Amino acid sequence: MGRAYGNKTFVFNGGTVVATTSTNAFMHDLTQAYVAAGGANLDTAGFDIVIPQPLKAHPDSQGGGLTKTGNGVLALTGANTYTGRTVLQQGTLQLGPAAHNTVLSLGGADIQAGKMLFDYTGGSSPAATIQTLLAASYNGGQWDTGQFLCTTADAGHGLGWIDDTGVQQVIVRYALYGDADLSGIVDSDDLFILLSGLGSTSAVWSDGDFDYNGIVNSDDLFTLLSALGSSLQSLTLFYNGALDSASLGMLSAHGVTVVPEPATLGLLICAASALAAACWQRRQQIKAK
Amino acid sequence: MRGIARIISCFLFVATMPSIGQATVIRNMSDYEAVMASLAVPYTSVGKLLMQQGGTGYIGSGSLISSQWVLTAAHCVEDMTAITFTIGDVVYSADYWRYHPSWDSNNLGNGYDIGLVHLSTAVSSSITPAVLYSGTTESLLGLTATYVGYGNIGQGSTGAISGTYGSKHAVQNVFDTTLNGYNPSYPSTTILMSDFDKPGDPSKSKTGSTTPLDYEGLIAGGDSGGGAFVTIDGITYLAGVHSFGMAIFPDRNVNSNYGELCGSTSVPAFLDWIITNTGVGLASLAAGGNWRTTTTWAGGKIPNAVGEHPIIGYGFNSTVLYQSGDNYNLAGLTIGNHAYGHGGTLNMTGGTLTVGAGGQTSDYWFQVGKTANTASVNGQLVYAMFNQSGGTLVCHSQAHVGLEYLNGSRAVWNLSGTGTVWIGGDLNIGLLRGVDGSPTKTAGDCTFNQSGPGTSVTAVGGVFIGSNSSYVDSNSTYNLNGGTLRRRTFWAEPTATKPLCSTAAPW
Repeated sequence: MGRAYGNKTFVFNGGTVVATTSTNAFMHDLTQAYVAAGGANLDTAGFDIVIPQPLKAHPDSQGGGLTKTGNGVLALTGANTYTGRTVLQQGTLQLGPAAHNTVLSLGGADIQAGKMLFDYTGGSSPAATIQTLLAASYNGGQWDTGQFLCTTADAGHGLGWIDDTGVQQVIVRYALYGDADLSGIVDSDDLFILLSGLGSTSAVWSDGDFDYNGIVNSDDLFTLLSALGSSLQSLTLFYNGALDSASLGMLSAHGVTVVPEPATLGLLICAASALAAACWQRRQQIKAK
Repeated sequence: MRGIARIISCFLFVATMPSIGQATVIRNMSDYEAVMASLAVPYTSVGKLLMQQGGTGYIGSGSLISSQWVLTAAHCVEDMTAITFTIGDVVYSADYWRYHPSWDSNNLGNGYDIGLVHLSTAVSSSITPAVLYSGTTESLLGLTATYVGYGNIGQGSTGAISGTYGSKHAVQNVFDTTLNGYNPSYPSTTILMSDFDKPGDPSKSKTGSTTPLDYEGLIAGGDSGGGAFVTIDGITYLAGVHSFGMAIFPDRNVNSNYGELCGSTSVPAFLDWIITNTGVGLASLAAGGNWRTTTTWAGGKIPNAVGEHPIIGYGFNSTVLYQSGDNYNLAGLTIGNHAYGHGGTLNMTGGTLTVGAGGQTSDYWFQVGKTANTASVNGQLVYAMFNQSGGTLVCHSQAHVGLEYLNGSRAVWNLSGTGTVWIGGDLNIGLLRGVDGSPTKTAGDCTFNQSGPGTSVTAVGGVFIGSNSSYVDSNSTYNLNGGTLRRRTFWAEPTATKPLCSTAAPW
């Protein structure tokens, strides 16, 4: 006599679902929520929402992926199995541990703006996997292959990442090259980070390796300084490490005076002029939440 | 009249026992006959019933609700052997009649004193049938009604005068309460009660205001089956059917004088039964047609009032077109009430349809598919369908796709083109989807299909898919294929009962 017990189903196959309030249970307790070939489009519209409901691949129509638009946070915490790209166009997309798979193994991501958070609370960090995948996708800054696309990448922008062990999240962000700390701007903090890791051969983005070759070198410094432009002209660095001539030349060309300071353990910024950095730093905001 | 004898018999045992069969009596005034006759003039749908039971004849009243159907009281048709209906000075013979199956003449306080008479030939189209009130019994309380009938007449101080029946008269009174509200020992909440207030003597008042209306009165013997009418927003509705009179101890004579009460059977409480048995009311006819056309509707009236909840396809297939230029405002709307038959379809291509401004109760819901319990009738699939390719639906209350839906039937809402939907409450897809989950039954389907970039749905309360899933049977699906869906949350209840008022939902 057919189906004895009813199913409760939502099918994403195009169109856009727009949130109208923040909620921790935007979609839940359905028998199934399918993503079909037309894809799932979710606009958080400035709100923060959580979808515990697993978003599954439609049995008859697949590959549509998921697109997140609008400011605010979309948190996917279900064991998603949908196929196709996970596209981030605006805001923050947070993936719970069960939801990593769609990006890291299945359809991959296209981070066009904003940031994607890989939450690993209570588990192991996916940082190594993400680093590998990002390096594979970099492709000379084209970001056009592999799991992590960035179809809005240009000479100044690509994808950066950082493992925030405090909150147990790996953050992958549409970023300015040179923004090592993913603060949204390229500033002296990033320069210090890079100079601290200069010469490292096992480096990642957060060390200043912006070209994903595992090395922090003058190429990365050039990238960073290009982002900073000529805004460092009144900066004096007290530096206790070794700088190669190329790096020194680039710094000098950007108006940075480097003063060897063996007694200094790290990098210090010359007080007055550096604290006024806000006046001269070339601040470039990244689209974010 | 036979009813009187029965009630007097009851009355001997219990002083407050209601009694059947009263007549129209008005408060004291010298020209009362002329006043009562004048009051009745607008109510052309009310006619005189003459009934035969063997060799005994009775007089009663009834209201024409379509060209061949008369609404009256159950006790006017029970056990009768012949009935005629006189209206517009023409006598029409009845070929069959029926009364509510729960009617029990020995338990008048239970209600159900409602019956139907079918005329063998159609009444002249010059006489407009009464419009059935489709709100709620509760919404009638406190309203002034006009009671029309052919019974005995008189004045409040003396009561009805025997032998004065036979001409049309009317009085006015207020639906003060229900029988249960007046006396909880009676179970019926579908009997509307009115008392006969005496000017300057509040002690005569039994319920409601102690101040009588200018033309206050009660029904009396011969008025049984007649109509009690209310006028809301300029539209006159048939709201009650005259049933009985009641005297309160120490008054032992039910004669409709000051201090007595009368009861009228609530029409909206039995609207389903009336429509099911006649196809009459704010239901579309099987032939369907344009919403804006009177011939589309069984009652001959285009539904367009905040007190009206029409039904498209009540017990039969019917398709209605809502188009550009249409702009109607309703209490609620049901497309396809399948309790007794196939279903219905509303095709909306333009215009604006507004429903549900009255509140969150079921009277104000927008429903696609209600109460289906069979997959097919005579080989035809039972379905309810709302095809919206344009225009705007504004639903201030809740909207449902499949309410009490189970066992193989279908409820479908297809939104395409430029159709726009705004729902102030919840959008429920599959609410109370079944009652037993029996493996011998086939699941029904409750489906919302949204497609096309120009479509828009806003559900302020939320979208609920398969609510009350403890009643498992039917499938509930929202297919979003295009357009925009704005809502608070998707929610499918795993076990418990969901509050029906969106504002009480626990978010």
